[in-house]
Amino acid sequence: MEDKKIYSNKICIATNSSCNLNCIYCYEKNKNNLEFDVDEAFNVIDKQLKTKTQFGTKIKLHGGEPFMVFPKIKQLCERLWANQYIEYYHFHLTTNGTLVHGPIQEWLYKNRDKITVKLSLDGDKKSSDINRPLSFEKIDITFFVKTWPNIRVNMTITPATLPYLFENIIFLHSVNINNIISHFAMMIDWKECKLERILREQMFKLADYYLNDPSIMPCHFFRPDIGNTLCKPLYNAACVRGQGEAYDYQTKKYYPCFMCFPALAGKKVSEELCSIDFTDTDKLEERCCLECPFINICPTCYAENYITRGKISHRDMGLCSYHKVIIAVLFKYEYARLMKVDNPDAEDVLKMKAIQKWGNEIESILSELDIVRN
Amino acid sequence: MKKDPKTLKTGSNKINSIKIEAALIETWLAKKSKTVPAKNKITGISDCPAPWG
Repeated sequence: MEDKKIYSNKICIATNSSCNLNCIYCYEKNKNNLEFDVDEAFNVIDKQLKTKTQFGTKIKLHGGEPFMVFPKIKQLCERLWANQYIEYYHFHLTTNGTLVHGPIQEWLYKNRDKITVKLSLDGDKKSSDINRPLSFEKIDITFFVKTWPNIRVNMTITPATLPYLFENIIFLHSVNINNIISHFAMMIDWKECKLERILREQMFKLADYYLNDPSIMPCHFFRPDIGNTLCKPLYNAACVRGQGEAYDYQTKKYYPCFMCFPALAGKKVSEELCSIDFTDTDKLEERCCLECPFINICPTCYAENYITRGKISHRDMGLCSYHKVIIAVLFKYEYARLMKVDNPDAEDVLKMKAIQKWGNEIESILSELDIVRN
Repeated sequence: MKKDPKTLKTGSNKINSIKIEAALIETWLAKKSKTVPAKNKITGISDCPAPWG
């Protein structure tokens, strides 16, 4: 059963841009009814799998909603599985889940050890209806949890659903979803929303919840290794940064990642993104971010930075204060947790050293929210 | 045994009232710190931070 595995190589194959939903945060503005060609996709992947790597190849099938083109996906996968390759590979795709019933469920269940699905689910019915109306009732959550017990769920947070962050996370845990990848929706003016205090309250509630039951795997916000804040800036890569490849059936070309597809980024911006050397770390970040103690655990999408703000180094500073709140509560959570650990390991010791180093900054971040208000 | 999330009340940790105390950290490190080996993680290709990645 596939879990979060390490891969040596990643290839993303675009399958379609069509979708049966209309999520309020969707970045795919140029949807159409074009679909990938099975022969073409087969040839692209077949070429990659002729070389053996250390940890294998992740093949991401990227929509739209991929199950809009299920017959083709089935055909592609089965054709590849019929071959003998020296390279280990595994299929991944993200779905909104609303079309996964009947024959699709049967096929997925039968091949669950060769294909892993990530489910997009923004919380309970109330929040799902806010972000993506008329979707919640169509998702057979039980099937997904039964088929992949540690299924990863993408929970996208919008300004309207942020006040319900705690109850949404609790809901997901209550239906046995424990691998929750919580993200802020991109391309939104978060600074204007002024929701940092509400986020702090929601994060405190979550921290208490997880401290009271250490058997539950915390959501994504509580998983960064704060020990990495002791390392030099950009010690670990924030993203794939061109290490993978993404194939676009509409242009029949390769791109650094799917965010660089012309249908998403626009033709001109796509060309510009393709000319950027993402391995040049001097250009990746602005000085203010490089000087931030938390840069090593602060996520960003360089392509989204370029598409929205014109430079890969221009992070969404509207989200900066939100990320700081999350990181500050994470530090506090780790502090409370580690104080109860009898036999810490090396990683725990580094975490406590990080808390020792940044403790004052952490308290300032959390207390400043009250000062601004008063 | 895992608790039912629906019945679990927000607990008594009340993390918002916990203050990070330098003296406690020093005591903790002195008591529990071992020789820490250099970070030697197995790293493959990075994960995508985009929500749809």
